[in-house]
Amino acid sequence: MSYSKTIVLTNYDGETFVVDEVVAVEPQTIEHMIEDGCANTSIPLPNVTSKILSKVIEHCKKHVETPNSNEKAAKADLKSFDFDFVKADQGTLFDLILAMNYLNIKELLDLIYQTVADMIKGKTPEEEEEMRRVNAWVFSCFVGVTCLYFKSKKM
Amino acid sequence: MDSRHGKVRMNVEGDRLSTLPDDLIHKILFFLGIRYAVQTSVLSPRWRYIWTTMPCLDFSSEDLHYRRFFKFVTRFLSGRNNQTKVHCVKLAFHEKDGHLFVERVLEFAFSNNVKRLNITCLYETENVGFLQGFLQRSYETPLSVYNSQSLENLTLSFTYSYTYRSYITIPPTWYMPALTTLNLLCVVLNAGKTTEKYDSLFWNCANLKNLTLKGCRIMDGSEYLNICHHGLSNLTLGNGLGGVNVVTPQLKNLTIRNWPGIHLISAPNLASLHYKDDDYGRLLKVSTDLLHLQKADICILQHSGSLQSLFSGLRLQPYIHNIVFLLQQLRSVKFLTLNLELVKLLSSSVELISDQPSPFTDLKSLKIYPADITIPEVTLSTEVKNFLLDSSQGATFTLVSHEEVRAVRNVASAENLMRKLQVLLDKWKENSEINTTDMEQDKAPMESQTATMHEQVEVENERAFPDTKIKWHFGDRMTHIESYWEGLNEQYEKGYENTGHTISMLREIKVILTKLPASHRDKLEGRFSGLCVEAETIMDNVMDCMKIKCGKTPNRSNVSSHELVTSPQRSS
Repeated sequence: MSYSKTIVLTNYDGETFVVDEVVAVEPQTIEHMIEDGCANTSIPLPNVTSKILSKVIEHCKKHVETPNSNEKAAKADLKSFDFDFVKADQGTLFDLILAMNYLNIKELLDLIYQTVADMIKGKTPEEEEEMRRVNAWVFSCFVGVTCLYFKSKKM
Repeated sequence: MDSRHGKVRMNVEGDRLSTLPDDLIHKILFFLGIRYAVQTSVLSPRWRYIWTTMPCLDFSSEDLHYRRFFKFVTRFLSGRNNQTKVHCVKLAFHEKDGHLFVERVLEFAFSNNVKRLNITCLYETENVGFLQGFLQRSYETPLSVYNSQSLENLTLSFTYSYTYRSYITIPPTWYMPALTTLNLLCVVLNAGKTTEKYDSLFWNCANLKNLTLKGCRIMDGSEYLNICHHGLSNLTLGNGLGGVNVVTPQLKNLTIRNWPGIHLISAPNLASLHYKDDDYGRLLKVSTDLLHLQKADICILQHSGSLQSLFSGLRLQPYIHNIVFLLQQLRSVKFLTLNLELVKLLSSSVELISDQPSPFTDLKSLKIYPADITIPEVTLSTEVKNFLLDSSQGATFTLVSHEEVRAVRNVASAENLMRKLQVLLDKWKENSEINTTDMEQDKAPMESQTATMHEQVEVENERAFPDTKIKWHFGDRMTHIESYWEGLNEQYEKGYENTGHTISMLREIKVILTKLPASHRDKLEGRFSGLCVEAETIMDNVMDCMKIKCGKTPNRSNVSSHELVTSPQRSS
């Protein structure tokens, strides 16, 4: 039976993850690899760390397990799962963006982009500086430009 | 300041955001909003030109005044890097903004071979004089004159006003061979006086697959709107006025909501039909065999208080006759859903169906549910049941009770409330965390200031330090204390407000939960108790915080919202 078929994923650290095929094909990239016959032994995912990969697998599992129905309860449950999922620290979030982009999981990406955008918008200048760690001297060159930075500084 | 700059410089490698590839940054900028996106150009050389290559442009989120917005958009478009492609453009404008502006953006979009285009005309809430109603200007959307080889998805959303309306001449002169999805909202369709019988809408969009018309009107003087298309597979018609003829050989899904006067002339491949009619309108007329129909969901609702029901004696018979005729046309359906009110209508004139054979020969499942739970429950008469089920013995029959519908709606509203509460709590938590760090920061400078003051006083005593410095410190501290009190007051009010809000929401959810049958309640209870605990912790923390600020020792309150958790179980 195709359900019991498993796929082995090898990540950046050389660790292997054994996943059901139905879960593994959730990311389009892996699906295409399997279709092209590149997945006989194991699928190498050199760009993804084990922490992020296990998080991605957790996400795929949840989305596969949730019945694809129109039931409101199931949908709401999935939505709240996704919202909790993106409540991560910035480092994880950026790793997730790269991993999800590489694996081509679109629906969650939009939510992550929105989260990062909200972070940029909602931060105080100090926090944003902290978050982006850019050279602060740049700002002094552009005094008078109505920018995010100066606008929020007034607040 | 200098030390901070140094710290920042040291961590330049740590800027994860800037190391992302451009296409990912573009996505984030898209969600950030276009004005913020441009503003990021001041951040660093890395960010300076990123906005100029954004492939998706959303000009709809800004609430700028027209002239400034126009200026902004014009400058944005001229500052853009013309070498890069634009995939989608979204634009919202006020109708008084002038069409020059819209045309400017459209020209830009079409010259860049845009794939998705979304244009919204925002509603104006201005007073319209009596006379102005007669001076209505009709304005043809400039879109009609454009041709595009690349456009795949087009959404036009307009609004009605007394002085102004947008219309599209049918058939439009545009030539859009790549268009697959077209959504028109509140657009007046000027079908003209098409003499040829099925000379059709959108004939020059050969690849159109999905068409949605919502709130559209057929312009006065036009006869019928003909939707004839060889490739169309999904059609949605909602809240419209005017007769429509549908001739679509490839149509798979048809959804009609409250649009009287639709005539389905040809749709041999139709697989799913959703039909909803809230009023005694002209019922959907089907004059074709729907041999491949799998799923049908028919909801015909009679409003008990409506004027028509007064004339029921006169008009009801032919109407019910039409319903029976419609059901007979659906004879090959496999999964049928009907609303209880429709079945009740059938029961009221049994003589119409008692001598008719059951039309459904291949039914696998029949579901009947009440659409309006305020109307008292009715029992299904055997004649109606026989009419619906006689010809297909193997069909499963489900009658959804009022309680079930009520329970499902209650579950939905409870979940909705819980979601809102979660958002509130998250925000509050975040704020209170910021406040506590603020407080710690507040304390730190105060302590350090007092410390330095002590030192300085000592120093002064010893070395006769100039006292101007102490004065400066003193004034600074006064303003500090003042702002501290202001902050305290604000926090107090915020805490009071949030606590009240949270508790009232918890109570509301509890009331809904007690109404639910046990099977549904069990699923929600865990989440509810989790929310209660979370709310309690936050409220406790905020209280403690306030107490610390007021100089009292924190004392955890024992009044717990666990009471709220346990009570619904007791009541069942």
